[in-house]
Amino acid sequence: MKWTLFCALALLATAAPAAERLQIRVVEASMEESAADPGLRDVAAFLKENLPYRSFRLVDQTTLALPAPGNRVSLRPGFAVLGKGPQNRLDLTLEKDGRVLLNTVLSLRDGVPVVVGGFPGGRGRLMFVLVAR
Amino acid sequence: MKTADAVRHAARRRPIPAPMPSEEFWDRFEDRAQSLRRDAPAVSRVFSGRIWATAAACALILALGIGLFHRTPAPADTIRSLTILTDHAGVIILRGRQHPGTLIWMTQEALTDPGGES
Repeated sequence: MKWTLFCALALLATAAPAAERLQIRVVEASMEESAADPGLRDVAAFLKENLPYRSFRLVDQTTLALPAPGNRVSLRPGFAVLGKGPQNRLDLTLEKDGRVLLNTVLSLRDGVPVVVGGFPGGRGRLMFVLVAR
Repeated sequence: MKTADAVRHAARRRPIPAPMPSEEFWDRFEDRAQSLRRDAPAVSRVFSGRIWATAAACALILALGIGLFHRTPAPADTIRSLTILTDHAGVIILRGRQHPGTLIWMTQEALTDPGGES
């Protein structure tokens, strides 16, 4: 019985809690020099490491509850995100001005960004930065 | 042992009881067996209870494990599917080397092979 309880506690201790929400940010990447955006502090290093742009500006942001119930959220400029499913099988549809840009099913790790972008807009390119928290 | 000692020893021994009639012997045997059976269930119930408690605990752990496994995200961020419905010339998918993360980038210019013809 002691071993059973020990195993149960060990299992509970090692199991990582799932994220409660998905943070969605719309970011504009451009070649113009500007100060680092405080709203992108957690992903700035990843963006600069992997994209050939000089500055990244937070345009808009919102959150989706996880598991996503299948609702649509709107983001400037004219974007919408439809999310459905749990963190390890999150079905996302990205729209711009009512047109579907892409559909993807992702498995997200807590705090690790998935960046989906390259859409023309603003002074450079627009992207979605997705982070489960 | 000397003969006299053997005789004294034999005299000290209790006399052998007269053999019990078979019917009486088996009646007493049954009585004793029944009294043992009455005592035994207490031990058996404890043993059986422990088995059931362990089995229930194992089932609970298994259920918790399965539940947590399904709730716990995959060890790596994964693109399970990707369908692009907007105009694009190519797609770059890469993972950060120094900083963890995944990039899915749609290019508007055709991707060229650096080793190909210019």
